[in-house]
Amino acid sequence: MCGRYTLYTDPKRLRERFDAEPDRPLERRYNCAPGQELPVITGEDPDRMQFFKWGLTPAWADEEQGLINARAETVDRKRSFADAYESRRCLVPVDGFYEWADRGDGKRPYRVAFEDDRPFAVAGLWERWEEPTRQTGLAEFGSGGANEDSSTLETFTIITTEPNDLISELHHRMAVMLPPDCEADWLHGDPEAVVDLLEPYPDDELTRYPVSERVNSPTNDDPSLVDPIST
Amino acid sequence: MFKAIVSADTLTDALDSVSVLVDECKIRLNEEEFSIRAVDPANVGMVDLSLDAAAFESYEADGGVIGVNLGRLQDIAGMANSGDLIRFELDEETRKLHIGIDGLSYTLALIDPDSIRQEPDIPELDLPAQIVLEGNQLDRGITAADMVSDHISLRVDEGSEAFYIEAEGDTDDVDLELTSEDLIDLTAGPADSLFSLDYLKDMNKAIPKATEVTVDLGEEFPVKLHYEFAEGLGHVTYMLAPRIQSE
Repeated sequence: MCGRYTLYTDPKRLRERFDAEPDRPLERRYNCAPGQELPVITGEDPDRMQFFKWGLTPAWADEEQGLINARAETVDRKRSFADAYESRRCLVPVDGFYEWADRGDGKRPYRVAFEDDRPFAVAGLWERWEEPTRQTGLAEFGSGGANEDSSTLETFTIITTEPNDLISELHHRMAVMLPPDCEADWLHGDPEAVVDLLEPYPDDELTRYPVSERVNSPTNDDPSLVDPIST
Repeated sequence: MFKAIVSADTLTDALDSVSVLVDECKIRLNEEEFSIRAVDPANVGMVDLSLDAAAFESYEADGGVIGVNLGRLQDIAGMANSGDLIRFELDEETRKLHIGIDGLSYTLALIDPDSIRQEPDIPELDLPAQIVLEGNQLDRGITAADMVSDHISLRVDEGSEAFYIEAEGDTDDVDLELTSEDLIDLTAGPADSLFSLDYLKDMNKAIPKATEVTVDLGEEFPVKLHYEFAEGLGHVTYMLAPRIQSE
């Protein structure tokens, strides 16, 4: 599972790194959590960083689903993900992610990142969902009919795969990290070919270190969360 | 000033019709009637209740407004047996309501009416279809729809002069057809709207099954449900906003 990540790279550097302009000002984030609107870059519109809600809801669903991860091994054939895998892939800019390891005395959070803390992309899928019907309010009927606005929700999920050696000691899954030269392939490549990108990232340049349990609560989101702590 | 005696059954019917939508409400103690108008927090369902002074054994009021916790008042009313009388007397000084039921005295602290959500205006609607049916016919349609879906469609077919209660589930569907012969009355007009069953079920709970219910309906417009209780001296109108199809 990948259920929390960081994205506190300087916004200017992030724009340059991904060659994409954000739809709204980027904020430094130390605790990105499911349910939040976070920047993604879609194959449909690769020059923009759009803000989608983390937790995928397929277009055909009757109600919100909130699927935060998809398994690389089955993503091309599970009903919830197959359509998005075929035609709605995205990059999720990240500069580290948290994993919780059970060290015998309860689960402790660790941060995994590049040694130089550089940003990277994890492989994602996105969907646009429209609520089939919308509950109106009585106030809309004071004069004339209801508003015609429909309620549209844009969501994304992060693909996970087998962990590399560094992460396997923490958790049995890891997010699919894409090498920079494979990002365009992930967005635009043939679905049958891009499956080869969904491999564990080599651990040579990665580091992991324990962080404060304050990260457990998504309401905490400040620079101290990424400080290493001694165990 | 408010001093009244009312049968437990009448009071319970009145409170039940409002408590399905809100926890607290303002009660207007007018000279000729006791009335409540309230809207749920999402502004989707509204109730407008009036109980004529003649529905009480005795009734004296001068137009004051009190705020009450409905659940608490229902609990107190629940202490009465069917057919018991409940006495009310408002203490203007302490803003407490003294309630007496067969030797039991209860002093209820009132809520500041200004702290309760404002009473809604009733939207002026011109709803082209009107269906009059028995409470138990409506109950049958709602109960069946609830087996398959969260939403219910109310529709009038002008050609066949029939009222339809329908629900579409993921796998199963429900369709109750009530022709003009099955109904007490039908004014056919273009009418087809979808509603949340959560709200309609709650409203249905309060509607006496043997009573006559009038349904005013339009196309993607709120539905109005009216019925009488307390031998015609109490009137309830519910209004429920529809769910509309996304573009």
